[in-house]
Amino acid sequence: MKRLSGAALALAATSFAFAGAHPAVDPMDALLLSAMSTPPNVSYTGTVEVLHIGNHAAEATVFRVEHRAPNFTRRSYTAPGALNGDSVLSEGRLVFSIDPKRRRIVEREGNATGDGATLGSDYALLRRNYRVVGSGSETFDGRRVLDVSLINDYSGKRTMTMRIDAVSKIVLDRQIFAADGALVSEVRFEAIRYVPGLPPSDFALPTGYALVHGATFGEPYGAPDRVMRSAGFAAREPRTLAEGFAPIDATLVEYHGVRTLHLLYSDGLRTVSLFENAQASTLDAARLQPETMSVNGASALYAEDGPTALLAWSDGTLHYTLVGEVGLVNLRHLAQAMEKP
Amino acid sequence: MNETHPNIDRIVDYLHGELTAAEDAAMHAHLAGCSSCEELRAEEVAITETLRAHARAGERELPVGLTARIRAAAEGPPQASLWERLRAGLSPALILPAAAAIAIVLYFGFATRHGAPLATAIDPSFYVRNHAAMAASTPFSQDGAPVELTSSDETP
Repeated sequence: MKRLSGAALALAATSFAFAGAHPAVDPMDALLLSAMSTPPNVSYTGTVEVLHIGNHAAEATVFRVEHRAPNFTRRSYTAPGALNGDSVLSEGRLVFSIDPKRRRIVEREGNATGDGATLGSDYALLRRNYRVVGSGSETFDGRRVLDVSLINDYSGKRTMTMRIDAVSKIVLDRQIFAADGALVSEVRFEAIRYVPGLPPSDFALPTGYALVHGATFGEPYGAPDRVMRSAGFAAREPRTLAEGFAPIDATLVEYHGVRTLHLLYSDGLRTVSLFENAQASTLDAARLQPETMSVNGASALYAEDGPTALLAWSDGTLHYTLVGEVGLVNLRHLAQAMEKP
Repeated sequence: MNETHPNIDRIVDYLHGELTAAEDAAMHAHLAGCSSCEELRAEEVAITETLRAHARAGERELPVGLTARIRAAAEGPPQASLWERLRAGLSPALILPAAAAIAIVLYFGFATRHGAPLATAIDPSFYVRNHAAMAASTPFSQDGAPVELTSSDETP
């Protein structure tokens, strides 16, 4: 469950009340809300290409998607080769990852983005930090799309552009940019087709597979302050958070007996994770050819795993690792905010 | 307003995904605003669903156990288990030295681990995957490879 400040919730409530009661709500805001929601009555099929670009490596993923309104979705992966034949089936909050190579299905409960309260808090956080700017319309993959950009209030830079189908309001293409304007990631629909319906058999789980609960990744998630209190050690939070980042989720995970607190911060678009533990531990990043640098007077390791950056250091009591796609500058700001008073 | 309506063949082509991308988009937009054509489309969908239901009702499943019997016949007589084959290959002359070697390895392994406490080396993929799993629930998340499918059984 996500935690939001009272101000953010108030903003969300105001936005929704306004949208419901007043037909003249800012059309850009209405469009953004539609793009963030799962359309309740649009079924579709298509191919999605996902590209993440790091400084030293890029990763691409391709999957076929079938969505049956209101809440069944199947993704069938075709690339990279290691994922070819795998698929993910979701029904609302339930997510089933189907792994034919190991003949197993991993079940987990996620946050269904685009529904009710989750949408309200996500939207509030996003609008607190970004402006929505329309930049006209064009034709994309044979469809009329509306071009929308999200401009970061702190940097004044464009962080995301979206091409939104003018009829269905589905985002057909979105690109995320770094602060220097470089493309960081793109998610692109190819050959989307809106269909009247898809047979339920397309969304059936295979039989004869072992069903495993995906608890190993730290779920369930909880409110950060509550999870911090149950960490079992004196966990610390950053003294300040830059550029509108706020804590939104937390959990406790274990690695070979090392109990680790995992906090997730977001500014509505970008996310960064802070891991901390009190037991002797090091980041084994040799294969990533890490760089050494200084954080709060201590030696730190910086490494990149594809598009994801990691920064690890210790203050003598706790061991910290920051993980995200926000760039080294932002990671260092967050690290500096962890300095002991 | 003098709007041209698509004929039923075009609607059927649309339902079967046989229009070009531009035609498909135009048809989708037209149906969204034309109740008479939308009605035609709905009728066509209902007919297709009825035919599909009939086809499904006509499907027959293989008798219970038939698949297993075919597989058993194809595989031939059962083979000795791995343990049975190992037991047959081991003699006391081999077992005693092997047991001694295992005891030595266990002793020195234990002694080494109980020396000075070592820091646990944490693989970066542990952090990256947990980050991806938690961030997946945020709007406009990265939509990359699913965590459950990219993890190995050895990585917690």
